[in-house]
Amino acid sequence: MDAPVIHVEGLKKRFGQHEALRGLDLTVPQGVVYGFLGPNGAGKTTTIRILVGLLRADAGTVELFGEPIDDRQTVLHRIGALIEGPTFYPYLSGRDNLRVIGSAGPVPAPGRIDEVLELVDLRHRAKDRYAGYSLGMRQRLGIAAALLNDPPLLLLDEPANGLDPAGIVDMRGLLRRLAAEGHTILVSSHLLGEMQQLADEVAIINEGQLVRNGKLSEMLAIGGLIRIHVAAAELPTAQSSLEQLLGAAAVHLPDNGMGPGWIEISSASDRASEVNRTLAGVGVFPDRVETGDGLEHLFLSLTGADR
Amino acid sequence: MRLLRGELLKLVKRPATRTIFGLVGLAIVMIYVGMGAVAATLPAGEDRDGLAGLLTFPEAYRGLLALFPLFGGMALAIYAGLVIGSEWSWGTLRLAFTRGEPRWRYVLTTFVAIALLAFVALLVLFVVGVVAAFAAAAISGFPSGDLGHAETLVWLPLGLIGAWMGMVIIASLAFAVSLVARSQVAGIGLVVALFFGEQFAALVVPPEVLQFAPVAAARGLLAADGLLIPLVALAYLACALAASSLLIERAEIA
Repeated sequence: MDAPVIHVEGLKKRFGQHEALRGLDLTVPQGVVYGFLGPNGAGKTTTIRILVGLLRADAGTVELFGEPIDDRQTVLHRIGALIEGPTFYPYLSGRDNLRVIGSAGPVPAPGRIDEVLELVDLRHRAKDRYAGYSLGMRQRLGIAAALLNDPPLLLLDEPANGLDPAGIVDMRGLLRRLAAEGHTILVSSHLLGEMQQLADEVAIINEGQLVRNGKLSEMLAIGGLIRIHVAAAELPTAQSSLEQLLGAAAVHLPDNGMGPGWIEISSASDRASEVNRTLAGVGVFPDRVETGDGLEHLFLSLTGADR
Repeated sequence: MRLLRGELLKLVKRPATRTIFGLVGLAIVMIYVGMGAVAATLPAGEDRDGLAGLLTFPEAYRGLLALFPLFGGMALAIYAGLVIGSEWSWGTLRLAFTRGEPRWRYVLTTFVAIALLAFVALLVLFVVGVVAAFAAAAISGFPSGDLGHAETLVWLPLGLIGAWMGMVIIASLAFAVSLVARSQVAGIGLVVALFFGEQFAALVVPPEVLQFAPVAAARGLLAADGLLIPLVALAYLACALAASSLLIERAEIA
């Protein structure tokens, strides 16, 4: 089995009093589009900045391409990054910007600048000044810069920002094509519907910690399923009360590495409130309730944004 | 070389490059035309003779070169602060670093590109200054003198390099401060403060001490007799660039 392209363990980062990352674990396998999701301030951009060496972690380990990062410069030659929006010289044309960027770091292949401009559909505007580009065009130039050396790993922070619907569809196609060619793409995004269509796997982080990760298809295959999490001491009470409500066959304790305290209930997701009421009746108050209504619902329930 | 070419492309195409060096050229022309106009109105005497020394060749070469560490140094300091400060504000520094370019090499190459561009600008502005001095001499009614004075022409390359180094040393201070403070204004402010601060300090600090201050040392390169002042001036340059390299290597970019 191939080593994961990104493997992060126990990553911690503090800015003054604010703890941005609290022991984040993350494993991104090769050749996938990996959605990196979390509410604002969850630690997504901090994580990406640590991966590319702009920030130093306070604790934890980072391995890229199966190796600890000893020689960050060499590792960075294999990464293309778009972090917090595109950053270019406003007075230069799109093409000149790519020429200037290509002069730092690894040498782009001959003709590569035209290739990436074509790829992001900017060749016809390549001679225009960057300052005159629309937000979507700037974003596409940012992707072009990330692709300049055809790196095996792309780290894209909100790449669809500012794109119109057609641009988002194009971006999705481009990223899928790149993944099919063997690139690994970590995409941080708030566009959950888009991520649902794009990502093979996702990690959802909140307050600097991983709250759920895995294959998107498996995470969303809980349609007709309600998952709740209760304190371990309350598990027997919760289980028996739910068995009384829905029958023993519908209630089981998952054995899939999710950790203790989880109960899975085979039931339509609209019965979640009934489940909650039943548990409250026996003095059990779940700290998480998940239903199989799509990534957005899962995201909101995991990050507490729906409370 | 690839990195240096990229840096030069950035600078050559930047509108601020033309604006700043254009303003220095304009200032030089105005100074000389002004001197010519004033000299034309002066009666024969000490003042008029003093201006004749500045407008008549070959002495005018030395007078012209002495302007560069002052006006050129100030302008180049503003330019260097502007260039590296805008790398922060545009986020382009971040982009270069995420491409795996060693940070120290990137910032030093940026400074070398600024210095090379300044040398070309100095040559162009020197020619502009010579023409302006020639025109001023004509306005004032002085003879233009000997433009091809052999001894001065032999000294001239050294004089140009001295003027250029003076400008570069002053600019390196603004560059380092703007880089470390992540602000265009910080470096420019420092150099302006040094220019005026050293002027005021001259009221209380003896000249034999003040000559080692950064701007005084950089300006003194052309006139220095021994090696001490040039060495002190070069030490300022080395310290500014070493501090830039070391601090940017350690910097966290949030």
